[in-house]
Amino acid sequence: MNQTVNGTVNRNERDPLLEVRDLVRHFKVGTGVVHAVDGISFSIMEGETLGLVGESGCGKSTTGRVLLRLTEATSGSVTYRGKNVLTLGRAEMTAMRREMQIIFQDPFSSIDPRRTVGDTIGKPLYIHRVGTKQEREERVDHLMELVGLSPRLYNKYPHELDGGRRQRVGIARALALSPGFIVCDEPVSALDVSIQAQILNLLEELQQTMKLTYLFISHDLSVIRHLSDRIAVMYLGKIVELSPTSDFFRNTLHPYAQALLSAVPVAKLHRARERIILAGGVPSPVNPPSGCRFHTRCRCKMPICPEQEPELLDAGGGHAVACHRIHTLS
Amino acid sequence: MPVKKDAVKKDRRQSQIGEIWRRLRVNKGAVAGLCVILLLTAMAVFAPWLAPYGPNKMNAGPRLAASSLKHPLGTDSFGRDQLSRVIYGARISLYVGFIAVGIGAVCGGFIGAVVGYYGGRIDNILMRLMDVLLAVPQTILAIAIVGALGANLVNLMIAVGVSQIPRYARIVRASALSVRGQEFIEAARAIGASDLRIIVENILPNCMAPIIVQSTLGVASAILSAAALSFLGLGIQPPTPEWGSMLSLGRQYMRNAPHLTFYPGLIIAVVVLSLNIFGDGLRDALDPRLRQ
Repeated sequence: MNQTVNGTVNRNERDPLLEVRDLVRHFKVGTGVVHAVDGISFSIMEGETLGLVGESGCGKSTTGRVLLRLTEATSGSVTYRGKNVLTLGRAEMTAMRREMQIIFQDPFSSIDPRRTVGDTIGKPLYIHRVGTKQEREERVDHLMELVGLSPRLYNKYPHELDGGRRQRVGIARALALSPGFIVCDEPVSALDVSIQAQILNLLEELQQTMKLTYLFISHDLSVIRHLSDRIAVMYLGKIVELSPTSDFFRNTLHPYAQALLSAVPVAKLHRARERIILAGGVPSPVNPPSGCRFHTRCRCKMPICPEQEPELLDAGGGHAVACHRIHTLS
Repeated sequence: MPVKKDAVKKDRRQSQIGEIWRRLRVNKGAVAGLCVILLLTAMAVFAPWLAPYGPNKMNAGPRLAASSLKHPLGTDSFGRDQLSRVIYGARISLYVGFIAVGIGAVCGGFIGAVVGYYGGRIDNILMRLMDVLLAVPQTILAIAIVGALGANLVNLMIAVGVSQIPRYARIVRASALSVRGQEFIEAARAIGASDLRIIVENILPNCMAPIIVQSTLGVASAILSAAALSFLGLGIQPPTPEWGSMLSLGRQYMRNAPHLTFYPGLIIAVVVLSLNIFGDGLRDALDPRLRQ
């Protein structure tokens, strides 16, 4: 359906590390079906960071969880190094978890309050029977050093740590099995701004030293801009724009993405920007609008928009957009 | 508490049990409760050496005699020495109390954690089953079980234990439901923990508080249920000393010889009280967040 988008900023021309095809996740609720993720496709190259932005409830977190099968997909495929993750058996999936990890949003609820820091970080090693007891302990020491946790915190409980340190514990746990791919599910949005920067720098540093590939989920465009090589914008379960980062900020195409970007308070801009204020609220994901999902709020609406759903197509230079005005947008 | 702080700061790995003991030790009441329980257990173990008379020796003294130097707790209607019977009674009563609660708490706790974690159909089926068990009066349920299995000590414990399962299942399910929604359960799944591991290592430890409180209260009701069954001839047979049956025997002589009900009642109260205080302390010691 969609073209694979290979942006110019990609660091290599190899096969993608992770390829997502027509991924769908619907939730049954009392009043109908929530279209949380409704047919999205993208790929992530090795060593790349793909930023996934969108407002609350657009399905970005669900996307991350479906990739790791923390919630099962309704349909579609997720291919990691040539293996379809979604069809793996239990044992294979457990093995696959060594490769794919996640860092959670809320460091206060993502760590078991009854376990010590050392115990939490060492748990993945224990579950996957990595090395001897002593080797595991050494590995935990190493991991703590890697994420900047003092060794004296080994026996501390999560409630004794501040948010930043807790998030470092979460990061160390995700790194314990030396994964190749990590979903960062809003890893800094629960933290103070000063600590956000520390954690973002840590993630960047780790990416270089451990050759990690990130799917970085956030609602904060400035955070995404700082970290991502490419950016995907989601709206109501669909990707509406997928572009190399620099190109995205220079030349935002989709009307929704433009509105999103205009809402970010940035001091320096290349050109004077008007503030686009969207009318109305986000339509219910239970009954998403027909055709283009954004047509109810779009200022560039055309007669075709409610009729036909636009596909995500390349508008040139690896910059893809799902809009009927694709040829006139820029 | 500077000593404790230093212990935590040490880079050495501390075992979990050692850590819990360190926290428990600070709570004087809990330590006292534990001591009383250990003393009573020792009393049960060393009963033959401690008891002045055989527990079933009739006419060891005059019948229904009040406390005296020869019989510190008096004698019962058969002239048996009350002190010796209380000491020997600890063997059966404590045994029944702990094992029955153990059966109830372990099975009920596990069922509660499983249904709370999985939810859905399993939850519905098992909890309706628990409702059925709850709907039948506990004693009648226990009678049915003993009646089906035969009257002896082991079946008595099973009967009392099984009849206690539903309450544990209910309270643990409620806690498990709230724990299940937390992100650290998802995190455990992300690192490859199996469902069983999550239930045992994440859900249950976070549901410990209500289990402990319920268990410490449950020991008393288990002892009394066992006594009720024994009274009906479905548990321990008459001459065997047991606190609950001593209570029900003494009831007939309450007016003339109150010591027959007073002492067995007192010792059950002491067991329950010390278990409760100890249980409270243990619950706090198990919760790292409560440490100051």
